[in-house]
Amino acid sequence: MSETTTASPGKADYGADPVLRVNDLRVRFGTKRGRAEVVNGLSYDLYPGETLALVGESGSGKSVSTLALLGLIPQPPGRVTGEVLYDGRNLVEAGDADLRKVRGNDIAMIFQDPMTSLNPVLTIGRQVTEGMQLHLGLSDGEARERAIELLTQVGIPSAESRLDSYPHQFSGGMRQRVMIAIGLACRPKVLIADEPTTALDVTIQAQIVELIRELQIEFGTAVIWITHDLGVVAGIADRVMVMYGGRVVEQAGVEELYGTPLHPYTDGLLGSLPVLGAGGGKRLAAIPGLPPDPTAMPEGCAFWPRCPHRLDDRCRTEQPPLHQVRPGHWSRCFYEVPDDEAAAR
Amino acid sequence: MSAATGANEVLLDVRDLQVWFPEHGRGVLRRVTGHVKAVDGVSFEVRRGETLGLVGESGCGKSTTGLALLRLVEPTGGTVVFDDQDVTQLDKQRLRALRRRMAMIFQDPMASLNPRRSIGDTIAEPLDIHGLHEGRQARRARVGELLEMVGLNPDYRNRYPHEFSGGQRQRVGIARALACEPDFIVADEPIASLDVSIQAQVLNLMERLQGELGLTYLFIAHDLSAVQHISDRIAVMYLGRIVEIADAERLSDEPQHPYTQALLSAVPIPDPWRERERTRIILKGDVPSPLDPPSGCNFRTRCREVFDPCATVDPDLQPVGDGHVAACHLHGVVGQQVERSHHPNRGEGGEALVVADRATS
Repeated sequence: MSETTTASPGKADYGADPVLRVNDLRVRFGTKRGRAEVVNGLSYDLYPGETLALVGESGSGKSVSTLALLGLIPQPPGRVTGEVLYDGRNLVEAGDADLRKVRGNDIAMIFQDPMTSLNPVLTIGRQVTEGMQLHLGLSDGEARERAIELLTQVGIPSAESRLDSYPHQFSGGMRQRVMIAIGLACRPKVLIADEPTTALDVTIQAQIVELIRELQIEFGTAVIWITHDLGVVAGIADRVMVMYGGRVVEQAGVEELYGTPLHPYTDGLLGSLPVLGAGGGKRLAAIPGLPPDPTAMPEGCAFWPRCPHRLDDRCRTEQPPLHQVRPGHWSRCFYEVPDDEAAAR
Repeated sequence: MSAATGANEVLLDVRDLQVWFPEHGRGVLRRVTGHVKAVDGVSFEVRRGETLGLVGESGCGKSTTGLALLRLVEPTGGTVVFDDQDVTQLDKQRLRALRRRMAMIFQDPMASLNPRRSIGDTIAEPLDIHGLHEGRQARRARVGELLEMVGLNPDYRNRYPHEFSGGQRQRVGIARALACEPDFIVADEPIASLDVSIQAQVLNLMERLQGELGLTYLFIAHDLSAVQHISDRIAVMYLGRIVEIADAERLSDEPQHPYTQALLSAVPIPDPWRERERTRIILKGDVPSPLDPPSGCNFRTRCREVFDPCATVDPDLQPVGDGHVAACHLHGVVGQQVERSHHPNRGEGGEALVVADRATS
């Protein structure tokens, strides 16, 4: 059974070789309070055209793990180990000059807040064309033409006259479109979207989600979509990785994950969401307690202190392995959510 | 959802509330050149014991409405009658007395708690101002009681805001709001800055407190799922106006205003099957500037149902069902049912709306 392919709303190609392979990626930071272990052994393959959602709460390591893919973690205080294989090279070991060729060209990134990630003193046109001139060697005129094309494609009206505008003259939704245009300028193989809609209103969010989906189908880009919003994930993802305490705790195709969540954290998250149209009145099944402190990770399962199913000392003292419970469905738990409770939800 | 009282007694009655902020020119005289119509003729009631949800997108005026109810910004027009007193007419002293009964919970508890005061002092501040629970012993006892009420250890009273997580800080904010035993609480985006698993904790806490203390809430948020969960009734705002009010369930099942319909269709649902089958209405463009709102109906520049009267006649809220009102000409112009002579410009032109059927896209 391969849930992942049948669940695909886009054009994921699981028969092809992965575009990106991540092996045992670890990121830690030296802090005043000791060593913070933020990403603790992350491994996954990303296939062409797929949307892989990285879900987790603040501090789960989801953003940091993708910054590490592109060598964007300052070292020190950071320390990145493991493998990020792209086009036969390990990006973790790559030098700055090599990375610069990859960034924005093969692997591009859209950040959460377009106000802080666009340069306020450069025109929109300059920022959209910069990457194309650097990576594709386009002339000023060619780059400008292509920028107009891109901005029109992402839905900016009268793009030609807006090229000479500055970011502050754009609304939040428009700025995010500009970020997307920059991200897609060199037709990257991989697009990392770090909470690209979190700062936006839902009606604008719907526009952006639709836009990225269309562009993905057109260019066959693989997207890593980082978010904490399980509602957005349900609509966009082919596969989902749920992160907690710097590790993947569950990984599955989107329908498999929502239909039969196996890890108590995933189950808890889904239970704690108010769902539109489900009617009020029902108390939400909140997860008690707080996420773990990365400088003081529990010895065993990171979720153990908050887990409603914790059964014995094993959970407290031993790190559960990520094991495949069904084809394509992995969970990092010694036990599964009992059937009767999963059914009651 | 609260157990609304049977009496349906109106606790707060807001009529034609208006908050306009003047815009000044660049000259030396800084003459007033126009007004940002943040809240432009808003009317609603809040009944004792209920939760009224106020939803809308950024800049629609929902927060300003909440602030104006307590006169934390001065309304420029309209009336706010709280328990038979018009809040807009009160002098300072009476206003202060009334604020004992109306409290506020803010979005960002880090910004709304004083970082240099222990949380015990922060919670006790309203008590000092209103001369309640006077004396060290009584004050200490009340602070401890409040901390327990919101699920915090009373021994935390001497700690400072930075020592708490976001969810705990919001609990402190709630404890402060409860200090003077208010009847009515305006909660402005109380869960927006919290992590998903913590949002549910705070929603549950607010519901429990409402049951225990008989509180009335105005719950302001942009997250329709959360608003629908906690509210008895919901009012939807767009560009300084209320466009629709209905029972929470009715609003999500049978939205009548085209904006509400678009808003609801854009809310992500954590269910891949439902997500795939939904028809999403994608609104084109951005919200117009409140400095110069469109003539007639505010929403007409983005509406897919636009027809003759929309550009000229400003629609009033009118009944469209049991306790359900909507401000849209589709439901009749000035009380009369209209025959639509031509088909609306659905999907026509750049500014109009398109319906994207996700199953086929």
